Amino acid sequence: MSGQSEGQGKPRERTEAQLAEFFGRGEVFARQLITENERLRQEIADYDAGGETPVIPAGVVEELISRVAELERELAENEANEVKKVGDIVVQPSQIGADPAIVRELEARCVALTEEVASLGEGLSALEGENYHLATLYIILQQLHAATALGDVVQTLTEVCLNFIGVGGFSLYVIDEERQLVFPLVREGASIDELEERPLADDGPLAAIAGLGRPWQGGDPVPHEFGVLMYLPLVSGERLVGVITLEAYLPQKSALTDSDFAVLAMLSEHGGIALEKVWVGAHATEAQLTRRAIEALLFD
Amino acid sequence: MNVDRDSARRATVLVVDDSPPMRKMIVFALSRLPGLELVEADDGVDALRKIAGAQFDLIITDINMPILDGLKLVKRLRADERYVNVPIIIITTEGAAEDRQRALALGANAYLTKPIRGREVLTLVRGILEGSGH
Repeated sequence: MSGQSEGQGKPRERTEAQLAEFFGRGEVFARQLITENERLRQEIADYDAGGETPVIPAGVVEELISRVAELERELAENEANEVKKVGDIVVQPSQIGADPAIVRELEARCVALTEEVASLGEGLSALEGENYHLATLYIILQQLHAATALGDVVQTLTEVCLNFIGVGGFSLYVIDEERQLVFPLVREGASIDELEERPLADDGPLAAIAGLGRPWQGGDPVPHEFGVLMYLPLVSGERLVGVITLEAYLPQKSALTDSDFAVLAMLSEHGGIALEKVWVGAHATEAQLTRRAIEALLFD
Repeated sequence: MNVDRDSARRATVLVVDDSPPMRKMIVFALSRLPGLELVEADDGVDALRKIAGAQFDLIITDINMPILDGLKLVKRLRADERYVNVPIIIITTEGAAEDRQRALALGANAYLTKPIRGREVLTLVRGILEGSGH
């Protein structure tokens, strides 16, 4: 039994020793916990006081990395779908499958179209100018042929020279067939008293236009001499009925244009016809229109 | 351009010139503006008579005219408070700088010299009418 008592005594001592060691370690651990707790409290106090940079909470960094990746993806997509402008036309690759070859072809077509539109604009402008020019010719022509008196013809010739051609100094001579000369009838821009009758058979440009035998046309030489920019014959058929001498431009005019020459060519022909018509009208006898007389004109 | 469709009342323009072909050419040039109502007068007195009987949004006048010339017409209109703000364009053969200055000083809004180009008149009239809300 004594052996058992001794045996029982030793385990007890071991147990007590183990307990002492356990509690000793527990005490040390408890002190470490207290110390760590105090350190953490101090950190919290420092953070609250703003004295130290806060620690980034776990997960925030991962979230940010994820967001950056997402933005990079969006950027890449936007670059692929970059909107291109050619003139006023917007080309968006995503709408056409983002094929660069198609985009380049479309760009080239847009450039060509832009140039074509500009060219059409110029053409339209030229057509408008031509339209205005033709309207000018038509209105002058209408005015000349509507004239029933010499005063109307003279007025129209004056307005055309002044307002449509831009000549501020000019004279209208009319032929005296009996004496084979032209005499001044009206003058604009200077005194008519300075002008004299002029024989058709002189050596100058007057003789040249008198011998033309037809209206002056664009492309013909421009008969002129000192003090006269142009001699314009007024001719009805082959009959010279008058001459206009253009003497000075208006201050805002410096030269005759192609349009002016077209108007002058028309005046040369239809101004002459208008002058002859009012002359014939002034010397015609009044006669009723009758079937017999009209048929006689056609068939006899 | 909204000279025609958008305005409650059609814009009305008076063209004053003693030269019938010149009036016709101005009217022709302006006929490119759709919806514009164009009235013609052959001198200043005729113009005053027509102005008294209608409301005009723009007056285009020559200077050299019998009875009442264009400058006197401008002066008469600017002296009447009813017509103080009606735009006036002078179209004339008088190309000297002093003629231009005199016309503008009397109250004309613009000054063009003959011979005119259709597009030039059209552009000026369109600009003035649009500027005045037509």
